[in-house]
Amino acid sequence: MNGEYPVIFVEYLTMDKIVYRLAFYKKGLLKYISSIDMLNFMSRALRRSGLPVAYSQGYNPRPLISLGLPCPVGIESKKEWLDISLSYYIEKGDVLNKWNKELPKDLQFFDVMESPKSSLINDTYGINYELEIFVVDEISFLEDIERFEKSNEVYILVRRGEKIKEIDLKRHIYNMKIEKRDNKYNIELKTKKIEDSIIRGEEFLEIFTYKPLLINQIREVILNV
Amino acid sequence: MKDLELILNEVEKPSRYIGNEHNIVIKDWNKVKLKVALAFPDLYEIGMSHLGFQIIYYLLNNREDTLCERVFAPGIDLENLLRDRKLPLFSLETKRPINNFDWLAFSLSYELTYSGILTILNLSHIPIFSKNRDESYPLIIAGGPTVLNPEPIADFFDVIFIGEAEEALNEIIDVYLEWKESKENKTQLFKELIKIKGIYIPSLYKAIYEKDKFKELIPLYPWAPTKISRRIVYDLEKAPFPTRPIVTIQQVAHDRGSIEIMRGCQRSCRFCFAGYIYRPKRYRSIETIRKYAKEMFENTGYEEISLLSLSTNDYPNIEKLLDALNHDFEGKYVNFSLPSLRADKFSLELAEKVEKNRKASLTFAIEAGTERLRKVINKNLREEEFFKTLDVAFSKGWNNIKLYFMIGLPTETDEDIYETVDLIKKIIKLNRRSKIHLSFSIFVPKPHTSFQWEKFEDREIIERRKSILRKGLKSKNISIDFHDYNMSYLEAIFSRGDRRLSDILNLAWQMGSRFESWTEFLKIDIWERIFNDLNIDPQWYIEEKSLDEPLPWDHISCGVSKSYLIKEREKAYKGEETPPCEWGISCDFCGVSHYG
Repeated sequence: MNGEYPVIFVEYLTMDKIVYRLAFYKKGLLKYISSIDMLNFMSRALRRSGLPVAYSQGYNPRPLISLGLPCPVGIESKKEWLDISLSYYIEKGDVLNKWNKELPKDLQFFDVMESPKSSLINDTYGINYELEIFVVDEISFLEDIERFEKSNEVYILVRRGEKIKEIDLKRHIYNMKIEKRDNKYNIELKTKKIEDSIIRGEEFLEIFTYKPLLINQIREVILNV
Repeated sequence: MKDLELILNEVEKPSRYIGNEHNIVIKDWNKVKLKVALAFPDLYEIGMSHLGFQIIYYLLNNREDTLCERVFAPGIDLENLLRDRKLPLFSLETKRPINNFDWLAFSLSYELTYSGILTILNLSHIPIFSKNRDESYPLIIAGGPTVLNPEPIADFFDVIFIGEAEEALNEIIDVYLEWKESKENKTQLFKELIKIKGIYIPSLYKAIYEKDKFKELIPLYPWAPTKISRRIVYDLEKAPFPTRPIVTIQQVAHDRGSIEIMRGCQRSCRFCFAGYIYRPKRYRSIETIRKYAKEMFENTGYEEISLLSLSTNDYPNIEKLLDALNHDFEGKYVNFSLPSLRADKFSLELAEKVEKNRKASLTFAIEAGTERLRKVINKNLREEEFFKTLDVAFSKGWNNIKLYFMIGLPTETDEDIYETVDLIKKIIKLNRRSKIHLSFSIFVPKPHTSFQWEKFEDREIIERRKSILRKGLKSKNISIDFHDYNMSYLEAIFSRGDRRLSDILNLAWQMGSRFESWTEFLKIDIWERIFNDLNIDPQWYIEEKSLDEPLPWDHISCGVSKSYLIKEREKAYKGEETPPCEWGISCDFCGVSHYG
């Protein structure tokens, strides 16, 4: 883990509890929920649902929920994952349905599995991004894309917490599709996690001489199969 | 919606404006008769922490023919963006422009939020002064504790409701709906509304000043009542209560559920506004509170439920209540919190019941550091008793103690402050491992209290006393907070203000004054300049008043008689205590009735 993603979201799960891994989408105005608020928001919904959530030990017991790589404020997601522990077995479909009843329509679970093998961060393969952008200088834009595709390595500077880091975009991005829609471009990026470090969608825009205007960004978290 | 997203991408805290919280009510716009935008003139995280605001939201939406949506003062960043893009302020539930509603109703609980009223009106494209609004604009209404002196904001509102809304709200709505059907003018509406107890229509009166001082308020119509009496709920047990409150998504100032177990307080602290305006003491039964707690937990999932009252110790059978709640919530991971504990040993027993194995910190508002001064304010607490309490607290492992004080109290001298220093040093001596947090606010004389005639203390004196405390209490065990003088100064002006302040507020707002209750935003120089420019001496608002002087809120009655307040003031100066009020056992004849 590097400074970008606080470790506080990782709760270590013990054996006697049943762990479920659920996928949810978040869209519309709910994309503005911060990751810290998300944990509270999910916990309270879970407590309302009546599901037998297990709690951490200690003076300030909290429901055992762990979010994966936090989704930044303002970004929609087609798929985010989280793990929860229940104190006894409930059919996984019921877990999903009961929890969904306590959540708004723009944030709903749509997939669930039982007993994942490892922590969410460990099991995360990477993140796919869809960037909707407005391009000012099209010729220069296309040249930049071509140069990126031909290069073996493309280093950019990114902020990770307090630090500035140099990362090679080519190592992270393993697939890229570009499509023109009306006067806008759509970029689809498939990125992978390397040594617990990921890239954020908007960081890709660093490769351009004239930085395009980012209109919308949607992400999707992909797990190892 | 796309417009909104483009704006929200640029603001610092977009989650304030997204709505979508659990338990919000969205009704079909075309299927109701009355549409209310309920406003709180401060940021979302403050407004959503107020139980009164949630109660009104619930009362309004509870009516089938009425819908209520919320609006808060936007942050300065969003305000600027809305202006730049010429977009109107919107409700959180359906993002509708505020001027589409029938009513814009403000919940007012703090004088320093008043500029937010103007921000909300202006961003909703509604004229600020009531005289400039005809029937085509929403009716602008105010309620809440601070309107017991409605004068500083009188020029902005069509209707001000004095008191507790639970019963009166239905009557007001019924009258309004009948008027709306009739298509009569506003004066006709006012004529009908003033028949309801608690309704005050500022435009029916004119304020007269003499030699720069408030002289009197005269009715402009023979049918305008000369006295407005506060409306209250006599049977709290039957009053509706929101056990399905809105659960905020973003963290707010008080991020928990609240159940009001008692309203009013019997202790008669002479400075305490709430202690006077919420008389008499009324409470909900244990069974009702248990039922509400269960419903609240199921409907919210809150980890903490606060049992609200002005003085928890005085709830009859409080131990039995806590035992019952502990039993009901066994294994459910819910904490109950008790605000306003008195500094006595009984409080420790109560704190132990709610904290179980965790000993976080104990908070006591002892208000004054000397017994003499505590007698003046009628905060009946003996030093000996206080130290016994601390002794037990320390022995049981509470090492963190928070103490609240006021400085600038009537009759206070530097000597009281030196003795306060000694008091704190004695506490540290008692327990070297203790961590003491001290919080000093500045006494603000409030209307309708026994101290309504007192002066608000001068800056130099307050600064001198602060420095005595700071110098005397340098220790690693102690941390000290002082309330900002300028903020209290402005609060003092508005607490006892008259109608001339409406203009002053408007000018300050136009010059960019916003969020005066936030230290980082308060710009006192703006206010000083305006007082100067308008040639109004702010001194009049903060100096000591003579007992026969007309007061701007004399036409508003909260039931407590002026002669009682004068008697209490005399007792204060003599250092005489008044025992707690117990109806039928010990009555001091303040004038408030215990029955409707």
